[in-house]
Amino acid sequence: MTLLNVNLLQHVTLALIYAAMLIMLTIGLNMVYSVLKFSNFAHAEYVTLGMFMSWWSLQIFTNALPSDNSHFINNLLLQAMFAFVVVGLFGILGEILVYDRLRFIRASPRSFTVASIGIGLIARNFLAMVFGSLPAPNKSICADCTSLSSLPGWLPKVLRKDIYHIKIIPREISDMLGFELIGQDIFITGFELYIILMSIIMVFTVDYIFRHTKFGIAMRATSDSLELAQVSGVNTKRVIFYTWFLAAGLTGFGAAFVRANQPRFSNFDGYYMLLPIFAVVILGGVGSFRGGIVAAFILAYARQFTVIIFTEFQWTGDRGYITDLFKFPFESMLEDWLGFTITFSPAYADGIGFVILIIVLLVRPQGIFGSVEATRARV
Amino acid sequence: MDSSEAGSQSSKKIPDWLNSEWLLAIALAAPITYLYISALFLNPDVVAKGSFLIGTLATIMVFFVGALSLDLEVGSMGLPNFGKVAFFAIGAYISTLLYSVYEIDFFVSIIIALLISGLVGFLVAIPTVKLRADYFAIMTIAGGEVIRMIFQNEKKWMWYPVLDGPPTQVISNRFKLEMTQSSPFNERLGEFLFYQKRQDFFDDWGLGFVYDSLWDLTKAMTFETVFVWEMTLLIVFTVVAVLTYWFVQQIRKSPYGRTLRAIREDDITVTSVGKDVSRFRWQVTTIAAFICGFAGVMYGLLFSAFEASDFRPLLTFNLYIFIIIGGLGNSRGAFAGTTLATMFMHATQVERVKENFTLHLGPDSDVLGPFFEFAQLDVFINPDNLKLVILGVILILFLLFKPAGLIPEPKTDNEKYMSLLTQEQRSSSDAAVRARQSLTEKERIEAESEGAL
Repeated sequence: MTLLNVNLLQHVTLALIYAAMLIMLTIGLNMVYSVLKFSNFAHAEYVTLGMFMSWWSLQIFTNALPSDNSHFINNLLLQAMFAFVVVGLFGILGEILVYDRLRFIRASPRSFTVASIGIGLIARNFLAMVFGSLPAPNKSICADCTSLSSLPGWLPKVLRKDIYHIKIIPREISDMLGFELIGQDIFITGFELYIILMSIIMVFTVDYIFRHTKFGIAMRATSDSLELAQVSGVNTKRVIFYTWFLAAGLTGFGAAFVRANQPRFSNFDGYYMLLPIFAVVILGGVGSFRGGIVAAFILAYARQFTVIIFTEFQWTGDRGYITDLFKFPFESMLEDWLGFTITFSPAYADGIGFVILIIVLLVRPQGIFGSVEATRARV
Repeated sequence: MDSSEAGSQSSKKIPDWLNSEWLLAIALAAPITYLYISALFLNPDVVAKGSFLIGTLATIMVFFVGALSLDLEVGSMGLPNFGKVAFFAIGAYISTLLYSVYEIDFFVSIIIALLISGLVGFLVAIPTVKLRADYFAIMTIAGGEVIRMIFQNEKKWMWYPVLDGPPTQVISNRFKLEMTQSSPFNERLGEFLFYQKRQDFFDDWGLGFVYDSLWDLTKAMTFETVFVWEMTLLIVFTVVAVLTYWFVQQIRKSPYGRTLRAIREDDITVTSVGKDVSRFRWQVTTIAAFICGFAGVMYGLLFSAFEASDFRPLLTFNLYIFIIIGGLGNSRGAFAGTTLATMFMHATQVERVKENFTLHLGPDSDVLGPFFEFAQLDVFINPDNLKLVILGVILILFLLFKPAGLIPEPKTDNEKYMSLLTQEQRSSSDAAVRARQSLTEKERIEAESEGAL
């Protein structure tokens, strides 16, 4: 007998991984948002591009390099670096071709947003033409190429396992108690471990850059006021270029790890991530990394617990779990009140984040950690 | 001053009918029209040609109504609503489900759908209009997704029930089936419109075999009834679109519309003269939701089989493309943009056109083969993706080089107020306008110093 029919520890870990993924993918958006003051909808395409670029570099290097069975060179870190550079250059390309000129003609922030939608449309469909619109990897040309990235061979063996099995609560305890308390073991894939590690490294690196380097200070000055930064001798044009490179590049870097962890991906993957990513930035408060981290955790845990609870509602009949004690009264109560039953589908898990976002913004329009700005219309 | 005088002199040499806006419109419209007409004639037979043309026109009407409602918010009031697709979904779903499943009278179902759509617009607007514009955009996009999820997941009352089996996600419109079924009324209408000369018509075009095969089709859905259905839809849609156009134009011309434009330009000034900006905002959002609900009802009737995943934010982005190409704050612009973009999208759906835009570049191509071999690329240029790339490029080119769109918003005629000013006041006002529209710092400083004198 168990108390719950879910492995709570595993669910908590999954939410942690999702939060780490959101943090990795939102750092760049937060930077662009705070420095350039518009919502960049093309950010979703940086994720897609990062996925495709890491996969593509795997194909090229496997084809071109001599056989590298121990993965000393051709590994996930190299692929992520490749994605970092290419996606970063793509971010700069957008600045050179579109945003710079828009700034020159003093377009409204709405024009910037719509232009970013256009850039996203172009990038998504261009990728579909080059790499195929079906979920890749399905178009490997060379016969002996694989779509599975590997972890670097020079790492200690502890750090490159395929899957980690962590026993938190020993089996003896549950045997002694006669039931499982909150589950007992956790499974994490190697890539998921790297998503968590990389998000931590990224947060601390970006935090260091922002606080302690000249470039970071220049960037914060630019984000506060472009004109004042220029007066103080900051080369704002260069700062904006570096911001684009870093923001897009970090997103692509994170996307490489996200791709490695999932069996297949398509040119719509980033587009479907667009709203969760924006929800994190807005909920945390634009320009606040701390807020972004808190918001990522809030959204990830809300999503995961929605999955748990709403999956409970899919079961019918008494199964002897503790959750049944409150499930049936709640359902009959709803039926009495509304006259019909609501389908508590686990697919609502993605929507819960938006509901939280809407509620929080009504109470605190600048986000959890955001500061009130005196500016008016953006977008 | 010298340069502006020189500019005005050189602009006088160009005839009025050949100014840059016309050239731009022709440069964009001519290739699209050419593509569309060739696509029209590449359809295999008369039937396909006719339904292709009617389908395009009806789609234009649907999206024109949607674009008008978006343009009322974005163009006239500067409120960037990115959740328009939710009202499409509400209009299409509620009207279709009420008629097809819950068996409510057709017109009543449409009215209920419109009311619900307006109500949802009102409920969304009340808390959100006070937010900053970028938060408003994200809130509307998130609200739209939540509404789509409800339609997608509520199996018990939002899915289409099937007699033997579980409900399906695809909603089909029973109204179309009823109208296209063979019935005495439909047959008579079809005869009236088409039957008398049908034999001659097909023989003239050398298409007697089409006529024969059509005649042998199952009685359930004959050529005449489908034709009548499509024509009726087109006529009704056109009437609705014209009425909506008239309504939106009335709003824009009225003092109410002037207030909206003032809010767009500077909402703090409008507040300072005693107008309640929030009230204007929720009113317009509700009106636009109502209109967009109408577009949704039309969507449900035209496409007659749809599902929740059709209503992703991409549809809203398409509406933005339409109004930006056409020109913001301008009903005629919304029509031009919708027409051109829809014609382009439909022309590239024809199989024979698609063949011309297909190119395969891989390791087995002649010249660049080794490159693709090294780069491990297998590029398949196909029209389905290429047309969206082209549309994105057109959108960005418009934003960069022609932000006002094909048909710019007409300037308000202020002459009767300006004539009250003295010459000095007038020149300083002109200078202020020039300073505001200046592109470089130097121009701005010149204009400002001129205005100060």
